[in-house]
Amino acid sequence: MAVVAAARVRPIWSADDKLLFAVVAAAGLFFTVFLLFPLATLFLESFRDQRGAFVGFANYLRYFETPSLLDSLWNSVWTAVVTTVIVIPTAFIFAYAMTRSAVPGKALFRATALIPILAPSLLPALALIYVFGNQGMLRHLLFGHSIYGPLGIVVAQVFYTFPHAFLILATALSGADARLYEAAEALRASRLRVLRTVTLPMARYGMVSASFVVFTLVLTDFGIPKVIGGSFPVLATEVYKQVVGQQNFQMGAVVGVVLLLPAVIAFAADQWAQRRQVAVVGARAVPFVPKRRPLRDGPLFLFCVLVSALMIGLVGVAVWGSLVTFWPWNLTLTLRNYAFGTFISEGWGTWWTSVRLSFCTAVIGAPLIFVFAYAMERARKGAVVASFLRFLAIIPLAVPGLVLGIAYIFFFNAPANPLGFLYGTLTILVLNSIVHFYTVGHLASLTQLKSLDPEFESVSASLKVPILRTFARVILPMSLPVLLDVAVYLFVNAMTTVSAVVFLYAPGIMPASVAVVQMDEAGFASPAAAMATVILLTSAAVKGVQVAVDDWLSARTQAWKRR
Amino acid sequence: MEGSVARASTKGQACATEPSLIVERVTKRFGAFVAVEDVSLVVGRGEFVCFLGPSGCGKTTLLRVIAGLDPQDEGRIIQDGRDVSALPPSARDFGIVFQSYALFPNMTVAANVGYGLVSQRKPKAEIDRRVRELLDLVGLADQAWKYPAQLSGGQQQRVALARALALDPGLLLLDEPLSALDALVRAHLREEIKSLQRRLGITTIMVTHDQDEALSTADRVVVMNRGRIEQVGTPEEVYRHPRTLFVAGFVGRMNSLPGIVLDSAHVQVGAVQLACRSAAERAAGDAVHICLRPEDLLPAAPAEIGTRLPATVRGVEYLGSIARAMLDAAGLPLVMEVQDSALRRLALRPGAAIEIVIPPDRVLLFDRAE
Repeated sequence: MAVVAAARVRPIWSADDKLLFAVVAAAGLFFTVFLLFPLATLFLESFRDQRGAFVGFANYLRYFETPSLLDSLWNSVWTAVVTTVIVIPTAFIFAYAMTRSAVPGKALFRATALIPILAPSLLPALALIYVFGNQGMLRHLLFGHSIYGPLGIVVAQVFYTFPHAFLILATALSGADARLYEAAEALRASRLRVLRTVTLPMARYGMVSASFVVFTLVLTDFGIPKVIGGSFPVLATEVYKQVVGQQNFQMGAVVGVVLLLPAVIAFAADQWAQRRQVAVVGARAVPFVPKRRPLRDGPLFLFCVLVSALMIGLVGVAVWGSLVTFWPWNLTLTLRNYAFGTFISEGWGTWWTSVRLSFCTAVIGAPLIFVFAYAMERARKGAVVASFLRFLAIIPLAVPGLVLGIAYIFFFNAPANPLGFLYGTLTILVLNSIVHFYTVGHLASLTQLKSLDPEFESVSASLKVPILRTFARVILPMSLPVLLDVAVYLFVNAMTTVSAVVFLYAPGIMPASVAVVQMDEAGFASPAAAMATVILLTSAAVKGVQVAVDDWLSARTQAWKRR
Repeated sequence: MEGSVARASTKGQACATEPSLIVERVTKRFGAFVAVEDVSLVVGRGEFVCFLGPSGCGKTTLLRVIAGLDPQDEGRIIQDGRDVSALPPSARDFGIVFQSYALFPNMTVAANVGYGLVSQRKPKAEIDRRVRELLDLVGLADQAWKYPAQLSGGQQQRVALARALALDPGLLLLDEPLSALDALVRAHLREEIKSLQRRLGITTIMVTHDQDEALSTADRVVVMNRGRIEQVGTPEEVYRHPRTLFVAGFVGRMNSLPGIVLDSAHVQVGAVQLACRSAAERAAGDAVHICLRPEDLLPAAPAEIGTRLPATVRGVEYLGSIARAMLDAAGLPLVMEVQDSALRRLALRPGAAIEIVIPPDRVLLFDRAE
């Protein structure tokens, strides 16, 4: 045998390798242009003055010397903490009832709990104003306190964030291994001890995760404090005031960066918690089936009824308010509030803009996210680039919509930017929405791809089948339900979001959610509620379509799942 | 073709037929970890070779290197005289069956088997004919319209095999194809794979961690450990004449005791002197591992030649056709395997005193670092 060193090998790239790498490169370009560059511009802008000269930390110093701005930071943080402290136990008990008890009507409770996701965050705030506002019928119940301010913000946020916390906690609690409970029972542990030693530890990281999600949602939500915050300043409204009200873009950039910080910290902590969430359910786990136990199920049932009643009540009030002539003095029903043209110049056109925006976001975004995820996951060449992109893909989750919105203004409105023509078009709203909601779709796609055998592509290569064909014939058909899920998620979020688009819309393309804010600001509370109701109904309709399409899909393309 | 296979199986290190695959000084790293280190191997045409080793020994990595799925960092792969080292998998000539089978779950059995044929733009009638032929070959002609989830594990494995054979590859790669199956199905299928391989005369490499599987199917066994090849040989060679202590311990069961070479015919282990033929190859005073197969310890009979030792039975593990007796033989802890019939005859019970014979030609010696 030769003593010389063996020859090094430079593998030749196959057509598949080139194709996948091209997609990875496209994803890299997408993230660079629509995420990194705007955020970098925002960051740089916060160190400049109005004329663009570098001023170091001068803007930040001014920020911390302005008491009203500093107050808004503190207000944001404490309302977020209070909301989290209220939501997490409530959502936990609700999730516990859904997963670990035998209460009747679970499907109905579950659906009810998810209603707020379909509506803009403004809806609960508007409803609260109907009930407890200056003209509210139950105003006296507040004993002189005002709903406008922290009280209203926290209550509305609890309502708005509840489904998010519930979903995470229900997932954390649903993967129970019955054998653990049987073992605990065999060892004669008391029920309380089982709860303390088996159930709670299992949901521990779910609770951490849910807490951070709720905290971040409250911190970065714009709609609720805008509508019900009154003169109580929070970060989100402050950014808006600086940028839109005072045209002080530099201070807007500073507040944006300040807003980014807690969100990024919460995000990092959440990632940490998720990594520690070990799979408690092994492949051999025996699913836990709760037995009837009246002493537990009775109170839980009442609790669920109460929560659901509040959910439906609040949404109901908003809908009802949108249908009456003059709240609360003249309660005759009317559809006048739905003639949006009389309150805002673009009228029903805003709804049509929202539908187009949401449709494009879903139809372009879902395939884009899935194809990018596929290339990142399966590319054999450029693995370093792909893993960096996988990191980039989770960043949007930590970037509040408002921050992304301002960042887009700075970047795309810059005179030197060749992409400036996008500014003020529906296209930029679509791109912004795709980036804003990218991460959840990406993670869902990744989970789906990881559930597919990684050797599908190897087998195809050995059979000399191009990867495109295997993607079209195997990967895509098997992933259609997930793709549909992602599309509907994008649609509903693009339909309901206010935060990012409020900075980016232009005359002629005002989204319906922004119209809600505008009409409310102009004193048209009932038309605002009407528009929020229309948004809710649109989202619900799309959800309904999803269920129908899902059934059709599973009948048509998922036949292989049947045994 | 059967003849050439039989011929190949009588040879050891080198293959008898013309080489189908040459692996030359291949090294594969994953970061700092060296998964395969400077491995060379020649596989003959029509030969059935098994890569055998514990998990993490690099056997699957070597298979994936040969397929081009994880290209090597150094070294060459030459298939049928063509250097394929730098080629992507799609430009090489092999069929592969994975441990998970990787059957496309949304396609019928027929569509799975014909998947590669469709891309070759063959006429539909020809594809149908070939698919039928392949399904006949693996005995699944009546299952063509089922989906993989509707088949048993063994049937899925056969579909994967038929699919791998569809393009008439020159090389068949099997990555632990049987490890997901029940013991019975497994034994049955490995015979089937072997006979199919003989009938088609296709060069085959199978990765396995199961020594029974390797010994019963392979013409030659490649025993691997820590990214290197420990020994290449026929099943008999690997079992009877292990070249390293690792092979001795990994393939089959082994009594292994530290000892010293006394002279050209004896070794000393504990207080016992054993007659040992291979001591002739070593110098007196060498530190060695003394290895004895459990079935080579014989219950003493007048005609047997070898070292006789008195032994006490400490325990008996009953395994059906054979039994394993834990012995204390003049202070040495030894395991002996006897046939069930011998067990009855000898009345091996804990506490029983017997005499055993150790044939000098069955005592294996390996270097021992002091």
